[in-house]
Amino acid sequence: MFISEEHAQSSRLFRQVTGGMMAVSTTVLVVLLFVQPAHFTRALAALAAVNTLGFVLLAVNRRGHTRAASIALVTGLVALVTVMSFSAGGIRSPGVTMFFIFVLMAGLLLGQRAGIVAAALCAAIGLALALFSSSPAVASPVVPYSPIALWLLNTLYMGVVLILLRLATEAMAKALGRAESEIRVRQRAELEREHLVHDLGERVKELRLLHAAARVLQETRPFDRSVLEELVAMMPAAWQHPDSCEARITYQDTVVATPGWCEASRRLSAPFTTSAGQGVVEVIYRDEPRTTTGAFLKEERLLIDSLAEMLAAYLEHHIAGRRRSQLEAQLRQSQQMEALGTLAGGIAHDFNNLLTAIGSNADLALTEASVTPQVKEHLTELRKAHARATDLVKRILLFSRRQEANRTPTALGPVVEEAVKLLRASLPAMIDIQFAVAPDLPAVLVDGSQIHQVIMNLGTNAAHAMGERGGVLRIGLDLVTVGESPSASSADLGAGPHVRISVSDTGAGMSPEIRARLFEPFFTTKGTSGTGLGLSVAHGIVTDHGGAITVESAIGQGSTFHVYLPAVDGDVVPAPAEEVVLGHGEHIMYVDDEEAVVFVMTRLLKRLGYRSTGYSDADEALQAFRTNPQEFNAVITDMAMPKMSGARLAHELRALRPGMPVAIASGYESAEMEAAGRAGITRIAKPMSMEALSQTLRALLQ
Amino acid sequence: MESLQDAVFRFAHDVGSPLTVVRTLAQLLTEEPGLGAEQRADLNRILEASKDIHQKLITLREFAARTTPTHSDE
Repeated sequence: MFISEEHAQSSRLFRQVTGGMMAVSTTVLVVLLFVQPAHFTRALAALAAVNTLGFVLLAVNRRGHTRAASIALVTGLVALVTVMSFSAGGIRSPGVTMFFIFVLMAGLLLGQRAGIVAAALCAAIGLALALFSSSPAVASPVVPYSPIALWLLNTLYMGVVLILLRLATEAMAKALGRAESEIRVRQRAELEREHLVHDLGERVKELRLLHAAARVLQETRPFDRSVLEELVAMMPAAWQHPDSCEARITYQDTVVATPGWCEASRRLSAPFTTSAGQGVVEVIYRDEPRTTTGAFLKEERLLIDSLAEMLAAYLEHHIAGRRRSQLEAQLRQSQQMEALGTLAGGIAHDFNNLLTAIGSNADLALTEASVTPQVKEHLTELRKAHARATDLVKRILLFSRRQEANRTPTALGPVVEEAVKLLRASLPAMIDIQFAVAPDLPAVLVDGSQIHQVIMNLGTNAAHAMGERGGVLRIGLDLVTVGESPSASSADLGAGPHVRISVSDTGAGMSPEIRARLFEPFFTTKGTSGTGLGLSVAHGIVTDHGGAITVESAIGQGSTFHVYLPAVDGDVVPAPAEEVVLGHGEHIMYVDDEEAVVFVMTRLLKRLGYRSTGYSDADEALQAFRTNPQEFNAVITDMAMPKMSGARLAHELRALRPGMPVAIASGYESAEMEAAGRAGITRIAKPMSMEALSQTLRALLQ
Repeated sequence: MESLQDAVFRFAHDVGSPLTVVRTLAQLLTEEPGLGAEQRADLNRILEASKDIHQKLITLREFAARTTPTHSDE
C-alpha cells in the first residue's frame, strides 16, 4: 500500500476516535451536569478540556500530523483524568478506571507498542495515586458520586469502548480485505506467469520446428521423397500434444505421413500451390485433447501456414531450377541442331551429287539390253544399298529441317498403304501387320513422302519393340474431332476434324522415363543399331505439319502412337505414278557443276528418249541458251553451283524466254529454293531416280 | 543428348555401311566376264563415286573429331 493511503486511513481513524470520544464525553458530561449538580464545575471543566483538546488535535491531524495528534490525545486524556483524580479521591476516583480506555485508544491509534507504553504509564500513574492515596495532596471527594452518576460514567466508558472496538473491528476487516485482495492479485499474477511459461514453451517448440524445417528445405538440397519424410517426422513435436499428434504432407502423387496417421475430426490443414501442382500439409490429433481453448492454438494455425509457405517456396525454387536446366538443355540441343543443320547442308550437296552418279549409272547399267540375269541381280542389290544410303542422307536433312517439303492436299490412305507394303517387305515374318482404313476420310495438307517416312519410322520402332518374338503391328487410319475424343484432347491441337494414324504394337511397352525422352534427338534404346533420330524426325515432321503425336504405353502392354493431322477442304492431288515416262526427242539442257553428274544425266536423258546437252558451267549454259532460246524444250539445273546458283540461272533463262520450263534439282531446302518455288519454278529432289526424272520432265513439257 | 561429334560418327557409320555394299558389288560386277564396255564404264563411275563418298565421310569424321568436344548425355 502507498504511504499516502496508509496515512489517510490513520487520519480517518483518528478523526473517528476523537469525534466519537468527544460526542460520548459531551453527552455524558452534559447529563452529569444535571444529575450531579455538586460536580458542576468539574464536569464543566472536563467538558471544556476534552472538547478543546479534541478540536485542537483534530486541527493538528488535518495538517497531517496524525501520529503527533494521536500521542497528544492519549497523553492529554491521561493527564486530564490524572489531574482530575487529585480532586476526586485519587485512586478511588471513578475516572481512574478510564485508563484502560486510553490504553485501547493508544493501541488503536498508534499500534501495539504504543498500547504497551500507555498501559505501563497508566499503571505507573495508578500505582502513584495508590501510594499517595493518604497524602493531603489528594483530596477526598467533596461530594460522592451518586449511583446515577456512576452509571453514567460507566455508560461513558462502555460507549467509548464500543466505539473503539467498532473502529478496531473495521480496521481489521479492512486489513483482511486488503490482504485477500493482494492474495487474489498474486494468484492472478502466478496464473499469468504459468500461462506465459507454457506459451513460451510452445513458441520455443514452434521456432525449433521452423528452424529445423529451414535446414531441411535448403535451396541446395535436391527435392525427393526424403525431404517430405524428414519434415513430417519433425512436425508432431511442435504441437501442444505431441503424443497424440500425427502429420501428413501430400504433394502431387506423393503422400508422406507419420506411422500413426489416421482420419480424425481434429485436423489442421494448410493447402499450398506451386506452378507444377498442389499439395497440403496436415496435422491431426488421434485423441481428443483435454483443453478449453480448442484443439489447436492460433499460433499453431500460423505455424502450419508458415510450413506450407516454406515448402511451396522450396518446391517452386526447384521447379524453376529444373525448368532452367531443361531450357539450357533445349538451348544446347538447339545449338547442336543448328550445327548439325549447317553440317548437313554442307555435306548434302556433295553427297547427293555422288549418290546421283551412283544411282543413275546403276539405272543405266540396268537398262542395258545385254545385261545378264546375274549382273542384273547384283545391280539390283547395288541399287538397294544406294537407296539406303540415299535414305540416310535424306533423314539427316529431314532432321535438320533442310529437306524440301512439297505439301499438297493428300489422301492419306494410299500413302499409309504404300508404307505398310514396304514394312511388310522389310519386317520379319513373325510380325503380323494388320491395316485398317476408315471410309470417306478427308484430305490432309501434307508432304506425302514425309508422312510416309513418319509411318516407316513408327512401324520400324514398333517392330523393334516386339523383338525377335514378334507380335501384332496394327496400323489404322480414322477421323477424330479434337475436343470430342479424350485421347485427341490431350494432344496440343486446335479444335476440329483431324485424320488420325494409329500405330500400335504388342511389344514390351515403355517405362515413364523412356516415354519422357522418346522424341529426344539421338535418344535410342536400340544401342548401336539405332540412330536415335527416327522418332525425333517423325515428331518434327508431324509438328511442322501442324499436327501432334501422342503415345500410350505401359510396361508389358505394348505401345500405341497416334499421329493427328488437321483435315482440310480441297481436292486430293493424285500422287505421281512411279513409272518411267519416255520422251519424244525433246531437247533438254542439263546443268550441274559436277561433271560426273552431267555425264551420267545426259546419258540417262537419252535413254529416256530425249536429246540432251550437258553443261558443267552455268555461264556457258546461259550463253548457249542466249544464242538460241528456242533450241531447248526444258532445262534442269542444279541449285548449288559456284559461279551462278540454279535459281539465278532460271531467272536469267526466263528473262530471255518467258515461261521457259525450268526445274531446279537440290537435295535440301533453302531460302533461295523456297523463293524459286514461289516463282513457279519446279523443284526436283536430288538424288533423283530415273522414274522421278522422267515424271518431272513430263510435267514440265505438258 | 549425344554430342554433335557422336551424331556425325553415327551418321558416317550408317551411310558407310550401304556404301560398302555398293562398292563391293560394283567391284564384283567389274570382274564379271560377260560385261559390255559401257556397263563396265558405268560400274567404274559408280566405284569412283562411292570412293569419293567414303573419302568425304572420313574427312567429315576427322573434322568432327578435331573441332567438336564430346559432351556427356544428360
